[in-house]
Amino acid sequence: MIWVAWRKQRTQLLTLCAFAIFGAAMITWMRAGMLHELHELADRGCPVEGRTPPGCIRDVEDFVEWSQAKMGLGQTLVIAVPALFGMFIGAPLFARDLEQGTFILMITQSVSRARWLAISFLVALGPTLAVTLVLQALVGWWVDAAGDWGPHGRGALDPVNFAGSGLAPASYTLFAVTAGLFAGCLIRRTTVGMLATLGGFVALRVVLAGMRTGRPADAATVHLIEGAIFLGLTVPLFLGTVLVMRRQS
Amino acid sequence: MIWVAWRRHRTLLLTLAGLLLVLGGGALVLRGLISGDSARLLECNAWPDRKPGCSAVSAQFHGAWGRWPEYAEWIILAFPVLAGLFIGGPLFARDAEQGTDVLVFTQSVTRSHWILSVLAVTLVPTLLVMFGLQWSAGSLLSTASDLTMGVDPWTKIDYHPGNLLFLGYTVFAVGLGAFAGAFLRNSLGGMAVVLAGYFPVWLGLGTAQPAVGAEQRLTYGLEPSARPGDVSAVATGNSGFLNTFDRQVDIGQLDAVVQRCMGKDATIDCLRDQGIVSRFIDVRLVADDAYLHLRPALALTIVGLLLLFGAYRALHRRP
Repeated sequence: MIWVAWRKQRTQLLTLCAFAIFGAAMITWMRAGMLHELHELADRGCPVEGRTPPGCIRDVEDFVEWSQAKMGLGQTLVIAVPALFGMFIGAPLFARDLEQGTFILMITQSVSRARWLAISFLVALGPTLAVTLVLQALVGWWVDAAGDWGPHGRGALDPVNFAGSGLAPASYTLFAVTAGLFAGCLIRRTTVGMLATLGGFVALRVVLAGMRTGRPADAATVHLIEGAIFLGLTVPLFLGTVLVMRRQS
Repeated sequence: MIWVAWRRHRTLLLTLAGLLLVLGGGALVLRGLISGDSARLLECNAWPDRKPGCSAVSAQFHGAWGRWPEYAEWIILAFPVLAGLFIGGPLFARDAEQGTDVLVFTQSVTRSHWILSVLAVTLVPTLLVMFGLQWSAGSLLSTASDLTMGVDPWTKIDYHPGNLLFLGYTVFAVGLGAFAGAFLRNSLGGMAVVLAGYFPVWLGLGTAQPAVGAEQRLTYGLEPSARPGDVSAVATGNSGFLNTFDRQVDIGQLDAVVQRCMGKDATIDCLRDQGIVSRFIDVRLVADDAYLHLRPALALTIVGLLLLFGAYRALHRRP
């Protein structure tokens, strides 16, 4: 069963793997470039820690502008991947079978629909979550190296810092993939399911970002609350998918 | 033929119209609300009689509206790639995937006629919606820039309706999706190619910030009425006060002088007595902003049209 699910999704999963390797290589390379810049600054008497000497202000400002733009790209990648995974992995998972009529083959086998759905979902979700966490860890490793000169200086509740750290990327991915699965099954059309996933995910993110308040010290609590909201929405979406698939004839 | 193409793509076209109505209309409504709410802030901050408590008014204003210009910017930036993904990718691939292209190719109309009709019905409305969104969201960003709501000073030029760059990006993204979809005969494959191909180009070009002439310093008097005329210029972010030697007054020194002069009847005379004689703003003059992004926009449009031609050739060769 797992083998069949893997065979059906191998193009997406191999693309995901290639994407992860490329992303990891780029992040490692850019981090190395940034460390080189930091060493050069330290050699000129401008260390990353402590108070910035007056003669270093211009150099430090240049470094901060340059590195934050590059790190911003890495953080944007971590923020964007849940939506992309929801669109490209969650939404087509069953919608394509429903659209092309190949789901008949699936529902006439000896395995139950629930088992088929659960295994396909897990085979898709496992690597997706793993890639999200690896990219999050690598970008976090890069951002940490810049200390307060990097994005950390903007505080833990800065929208970009928040969405790229803690529980956020994993909970977003779980939600987006499940929402994609549900939308695809309900609408029975891949492209419309993808569009609905993107729209729903972005709308929820915007609403929750607007409600986010507190001090940077409360970031862990806010992560827990937001994570609970996303996970709380994931469960009914998955159950809804099971229900929709059971009713397919 | 146009009618058939419209019937087949009506969901897409109605979605586009809805997007324009909701997002474009929303941006215009928001601009009105922000402009209305800014009156109290502008009155409070009026030079030289800045009232006490302005920081709280400013914080309240920015807290209420500060995020919206950012969202408007995202809408303009995201639309071309979304058009490439959801319009370009499945444009020809869906028929190939589902086998319905056989029906198309066995009709009395030529393939060229069919392809051109599909492009006319999908690409033209997409470009019109892009223009509409750029116009409405750009006007919101322009207002935000005037109110110094933390928007990049280049915003006014980057999202000006005369900037054709986003139309170029849209043609490129739709062309890339249509070509990849027609070539791979797979919607998802076409969409993935759009993602992989669009972002390197976008990162390479960015919003193509132009060199719009050398930096200039505009100086004007301390009186509230003495503002520089309505010059077409972009602020570089550096502005302040000048002393009798035409040197910029240090911020610490300025704070001390303003504290000393605040509450006096003749505030401006007091400032002059303390050695602060004029204000300045550093700008880059913009003489022909309609042409600033023309070169990259043209290049993207040409590449996009070539990709559409590639899709046309791929469809023509199909048995």
